Formats: sequence, structure tokens, C-alpha cells
Amino acid sequence: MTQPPALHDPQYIHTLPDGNTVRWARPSDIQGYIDLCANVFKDSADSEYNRYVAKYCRDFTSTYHPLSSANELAVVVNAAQEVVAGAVLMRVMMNYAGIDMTMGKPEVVATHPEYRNRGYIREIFKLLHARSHARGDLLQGITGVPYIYERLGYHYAIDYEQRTTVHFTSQQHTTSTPAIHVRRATINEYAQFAELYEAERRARNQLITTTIDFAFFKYLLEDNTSIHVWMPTLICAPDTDEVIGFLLLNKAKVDDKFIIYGLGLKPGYPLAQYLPAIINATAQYRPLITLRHTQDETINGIVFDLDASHPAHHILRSVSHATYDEGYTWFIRVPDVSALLQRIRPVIEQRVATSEYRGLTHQLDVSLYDASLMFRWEKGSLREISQHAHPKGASASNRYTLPLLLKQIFGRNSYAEMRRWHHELARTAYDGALLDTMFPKQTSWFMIQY
Amino acid sequence: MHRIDPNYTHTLSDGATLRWGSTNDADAYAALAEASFVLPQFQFSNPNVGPYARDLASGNHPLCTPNDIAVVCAPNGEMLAAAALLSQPLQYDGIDLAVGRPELVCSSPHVRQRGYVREIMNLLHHKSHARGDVMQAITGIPNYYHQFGYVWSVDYNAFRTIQFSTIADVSHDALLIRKARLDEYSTFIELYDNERRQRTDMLSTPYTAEYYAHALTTSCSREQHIPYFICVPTGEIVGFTTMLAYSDEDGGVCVTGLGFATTASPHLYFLRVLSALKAHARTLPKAHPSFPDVSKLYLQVDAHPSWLQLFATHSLVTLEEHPYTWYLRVPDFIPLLWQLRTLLERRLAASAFRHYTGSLILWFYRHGLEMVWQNGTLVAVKPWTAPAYGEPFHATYPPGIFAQQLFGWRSFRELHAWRKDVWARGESIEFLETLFPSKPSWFLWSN
Repeated sequence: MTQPPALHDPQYIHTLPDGNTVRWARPSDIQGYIDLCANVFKDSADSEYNRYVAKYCRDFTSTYHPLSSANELAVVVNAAQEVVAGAVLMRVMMNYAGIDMTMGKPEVVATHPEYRNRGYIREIFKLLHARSHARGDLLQGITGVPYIYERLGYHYAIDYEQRTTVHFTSQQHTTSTPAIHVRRATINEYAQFAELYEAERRARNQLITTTIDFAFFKYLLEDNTSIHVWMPTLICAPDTDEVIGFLLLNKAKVDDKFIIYGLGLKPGYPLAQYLPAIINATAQYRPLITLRHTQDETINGIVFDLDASHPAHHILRSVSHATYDEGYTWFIRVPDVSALLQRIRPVIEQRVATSEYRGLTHQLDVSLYDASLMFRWEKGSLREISQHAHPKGASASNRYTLPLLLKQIFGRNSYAEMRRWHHELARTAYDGALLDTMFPKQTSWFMIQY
Repeated sequence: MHRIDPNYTHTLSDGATLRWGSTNDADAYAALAEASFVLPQFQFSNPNVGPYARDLASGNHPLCTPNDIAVVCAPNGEMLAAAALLSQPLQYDGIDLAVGRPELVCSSPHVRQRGYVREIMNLLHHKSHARGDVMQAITGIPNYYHQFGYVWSVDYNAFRTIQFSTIADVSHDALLIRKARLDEYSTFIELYDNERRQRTDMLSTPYTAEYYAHALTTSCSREQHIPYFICVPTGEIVGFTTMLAYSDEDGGVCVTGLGFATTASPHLYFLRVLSALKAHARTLPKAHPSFPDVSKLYLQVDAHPSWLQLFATHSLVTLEEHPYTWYLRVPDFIPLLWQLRTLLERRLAASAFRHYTGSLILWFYRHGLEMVWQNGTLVAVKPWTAPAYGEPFHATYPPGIFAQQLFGWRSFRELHAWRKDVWARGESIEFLETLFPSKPSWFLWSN
């Protein structure tokens, strides 16, 4: 007897209780999905078709996007085979303390207003999660509507941004020391860009960072049609054209502002000294940008949409014409936390090896209430990480919930911070200090790859 | 048959029966509780739970009748799981609220993971709703009750532990702790309510005459807060305290309330009170003969600044215990907010928002509510549904999390800083902080 296709199988198809169908997309579904998103993501029912979202979705479902394709699109279609809900699974390249891994990222999640509250997104996510697991992702991450994704197993665990906005003033335009200029990188300059970017990643000592390989670099520079991509941009000395740093600058202005998602300078070029010049040079970059509203070319400021610990935020705090917005967060789903821990085991061992716990022999048990984790240390080596289904629950000495453990694994919060909010946490003093050594608080610079 | 009918029974899928209890169930409930609550360090049952179960099922408890206990029994009649629904006294900033409190939830160790507690909780929630409770409150197993819609919303049991060795014995002008008499309720409640007024807590616990009488006379439980008076050597009453009347498995005695007459100085009396509490605690029996000798007091300070000032002023060495929490379940915020409307109007009237006219829309991601204000009067609280496009609401909270602000546990800004899914428009933040300020609570469990 033939087995029905598994969830991740391109042939998988399932009829929902209302008669509509969830399945992986066919070529004939692509335009329907694009139109669905362009109609869902508009300001009001009578607004125009959102052509920016349409371009964005077209890229995601194209053959040229290095992190996504139409093969990764899951849809719900009605009896007329119209796409009424859909989402794509991207493959995000990330790095945890030096260890590369991939993360599945559901993107452009949309349901037609007339088909909401039927559980379609839950059904679609089952497919995306199965595909993500099948291709070896240890985790999935998503941004977007807060809370909604918690119901699908996601928990906010990694901060990704803080926004400082510099509003242009007349004084701004007259200040020009030191004189520099910025220009879009060329496809031949990947090595130079990568050197700058990697140096910045190392120097910033961030826990989780975003990997930019040549394929994605090329996509950013040449292959996309969306305006929601960050452009590798080089910062150059005035006369020699020597490259002294890089920017990741959004391709289009948003409202009346530029957005900078990444920023780094070579050693010898202090950011505090060069930041005003970078602001000025970016302001003059205007003619090269793809404007969202061609009839309105006004650009009145720059949003530094950087990770929260980026020094630019601190430097700009002294600038009177800057304002600040709290950033947002990645919601993370880890279906098998022991598998993730296995992957980052070298990092955990290294942390312990450089602490007062070096040479440790100890069994550390942590209850997750509905499961438990066991870490077996022998002479400083983490010999075993295993998850057990029969936990001690509330009677265990060390107690986390999975969402709270993820916040600590991903460096977002310390135990002390979490304990003020979550009374279900408990630890012994010895094991608590060990857990803090294994998973210290550490900031991340984890950009969204579009 | 209606689920709140005293004779309601329902056969579960495995043949067990869900029903309401009676006085005939007292022994079985006590035995089940003793089998369920085992002290791991002693490998025997918690000695308090059996008498407590009998008390709840006795027909004498002022907050629970035998018929408020839901039980699951095997086909042979053996009780497999049970829990009581108490009527927990509670005031929200001076306004009485009807609250149901599932309590002494237990299931036999050999029948777990069968969903019996879920069936029981459903039944208790149904009865609580039918009798007009605006919410349910529970303590107990950490994390467990989230699955039934409860969200931790109020700190409790924020104890400071004081070892006897750090409490100086006072011989001159020593104070005396004596148990209150049945005919002294008016004296006790004057002191107790005076303390509640002085603390200006968000949540506090009325101490009814019925509960007072039961605690002093008919109760067979060890779980009540027993009322005591603090007296000077001449016998004059200068304050009160409430305590559990047994020392526990760690050799401690739990002091859950303490207050002074309006003419008495807490600062002046504090060290003498501690000495008196220590002397009195030494006279209390152990809950079990195997327990260690009494050696310390647990003072339930919660977050109240007066306690903290007294500890600091007298340089007392105390161990600060992490607070635990009340898990609260508010099935529908609309009737609760409507019941609080005069209080909310007073808060607004005392702020820059007095005479406010407009609406406040709170979105809980799946459903919402709108508070309609006219010239500072709350004229309506009604359901609100999000349109297909746009986000025309003023603030968002995940379901249940709004309770953390409503009950004063955290301010809006604290919630927003901690959770990315709590959000408000800039112009609504101060309005929310004014309507729902952060304040400590003194919410005693009325066992």
C-alpha cells in the first residue's frame, strides 16, 4: 500500500474541514499568491493594490532569490483554485558564536479577509515547519504580528533592532568634516565588502549574526525587484576613493527617510568622529536611490535601524535632532532543543573552559515542566545532552519553561531578569551559576534577510 | 441535567464519573489529598492537607460547601481526583469582587495524565461563572495552571525569613501574643481593616466574621490565618497578627499579617513584636513530630514599603524569598471593568484626564473591548472587533496579560519593556498608566 506524501513532500495535499485545500504551490498559484499579498497588505479596503508588496513577493517566489523559491510556498486554495492564504519558507543564514546554521523563516504570511479565523495559517505552518525540519533547520524564526506566532510555537528570544532617527536640519547640510562619500558596491567588490563585514562581525562580539554570502550579495545588488532590500554600500575617503567602511542601506526611502541596517568602519576610522560625515554623505546619496514615491523626492532624515548595542545609538544620543524608537524582536521556534544544544556544544564547552567551572564533572538536570534536559559533564567535556519525556516537573530543583530557556540560550535575557517576571523559574545556586556560564547574556546583530 | 445542579454526574470516556461532592466524601477527599501531597524530604504526606480537605468538605467552612467540591470517581466508587471551589474574599482598591478559587487540587498518583483535572477545572469554572464570579484565582503548582487560562498577575508569599538567633529576646516591657476570642471580632476587624486602609494596596482580603468564627472554633484545618492580638503587659491591645498555628517542615512559622492600632508606633514596637512572635512561635506545635524544632519566622511582607523600612531601620538580617504568584483567570474583562467603573472614574478625575471624552480600544489579538468615556464618566464597556484593514486600536495585550496591569502587578511601561507584544500608541500610554496604576497587593489565601 502506498504511503500518502509526507507534509514536506511537494505532492502533499490535504482537504480542510471547510472543503478548501492546503498544499505546496504550483506554478499557476504564484500570481494568485502575489495578488493576495498585495491586497492584504494595504492600508484600507479601498486602497490601491500594494505594488511594493507584489514586487517583494515576486522576488520570494522567483528562481533568482538565493534564500527562497516558489517551491517553498505553501497555500490554501478554494474550490475555484484561488489562493486564499499562503506563506513562503525562506532559508536564513545565521551564525551562533561562530557556528553557522540555517533557520527557516516563514515570510509574507497572508490570509484573505473573508477566509480568516479558519486555522489556515496553522495548517500552512505545519507544512513549512515540516519542510524546514526535513532540510535540516534546527530552528525557525519570524518577525511580524506580535503574539500571533506564539500560538504556533514561537517565542520572542532574539532582539533584532533599535531605531535611532536623525532628522536633517540646515545645520546638518552645512557640516561636512571629514569629507567622505558613499557609493553602491559593485558585484566585483564582494571580497572587499565581505572583509569589512566579517571584521565588523568579529569586532562587535555579537552572539547571533547574519551571514552574507556571494549569492545573497549578488541578489542584493543585481537580481531583486523589491524596494525592501538592503544595498551593500561602501564608505569612501574623499580623494583616494579608498574604501573605509560599509553601509547596508535600504534600497528605497521609507516615508521620507533613508534606513541604514548595517554600518561598520575599518580600524583607524573612529565611528564617533566619522558618523556626522556618514550622515552627510548618505544625505547626498539621494539621486542613486530607488524612490518609493517618485513624485515626492523629499528625504528628511536617516533611520539607523541597527542592533540595540550598536555604538551609533549611543553616539547619536547627544544629537539634539535625533529621536529613538524601541525595536522589535525575532520570534523563535526550536522544535528539538537538545538538537540545537548539540550543535552549539563546542561553544558551551568553550565558555565553561574559560570559567571557574573548567574541568567540570557534573550532571546538570533542568526541568522544562513537560520534559527535562540532562547535561552530563566529564572533566570539562559535555559528554551528553539529552531530552527526556518523563520530567520531575514542578518538583525539580532547576526549572525553566522552554520559552525562557530559549531566551537565555540566545543571550537575550539573564536568569535574574526573567525571574522577576516568571515565577515558575527556579535553580539551585550551583547549577544556576553553571547555567549562566553556559548561556551568558549577550547581544545579537541578526538582520532580517529579505 | 445542568452542570451546576448538585446531582450532576457525567461519565468520562474511560468510565470514570465526574460529579459534585457531599459531606460523605470528606474521608475520601482527605485520603486522596494525603496520597497526592507527599513531602519529598520526609517521604510522608503533608500532614496539613488531610485535615484541610475534611474542613472543606465538612459543611462548616464559610467559603466552601461540600457541594462545591468536584470529584472524579472510578466505577467502583474510589475517588481518583478532586478540587474545591472556594469563594475567595477579595477587594480591588476597596471594591468587593466575587472570585472563585480552585483549591486543594489533587489526583491520585496512579491516574495522572488522563485529563481528570481538566474536567474538574471546567466544572469549577462553570460553577464560578454561574454564581457570578468575575474571575478565578489559584496558587499552587508553578506553570501548570497556564493551560487552563490562568496568568500570573499578583505577587504573594513574598516572605522574609528571620532566624530566631537574630531576634533579641526582650524581657523588659515584653509584649504578649494571645489568640483572639470569638467575642472580639469587632476589635480585630477594626485593627485589620485599619491596616488595609493604611497600606492602600491594590488587592486586599476582607476578613469576614464567619471566617473569623470558623478559624477560632469549628475548623479542623491547620491552614487558616489565626487571628491574634499583640498586647502590652497590662493587657491593652496595641496590634494584631495573623499566623498559621503550626511550625512547618523546615522549622518555620508563617506570619501572614501584622498591624498596629492607630495610636501605636510600628517603629517603636517592631523589635518587641518580633521578640513576642518568636516566644509565641515556640509554643506552637509542629505539624508533624518528625519536623525540626521551630527556629525561624516567615514574615509575609509582599512588596509593602513599611515592612522594608522597618527591616532597614533596625538593620535586621533577613533572607528574602522570591515571591510566588497568584494565577488569575479573567474570562471576560468587560464585566470586571464595568464593576470597577466608579473607581476608574475617580482615578481619571484625579489626573490630567479629568472630564475626558473619547474611547479607549484594547486589542487582545483575538478579540477586543472598547471603553467609552463621556466627560470623565465611563458610559460603556463593550466588545470590539478589529476591521480587516488598519489597526485602529489604542493598545494591545496578549490575552490574559492585561490582567498583569489591571491588578497592579506591573505598569504599562514595564510590560512594554519586557514584552514586545504589549504596545500602545504614544498618546494612550499615560492614559493607561492613569487608569491602571502599578500598586502592591496583600492578597491572603483564605484557606
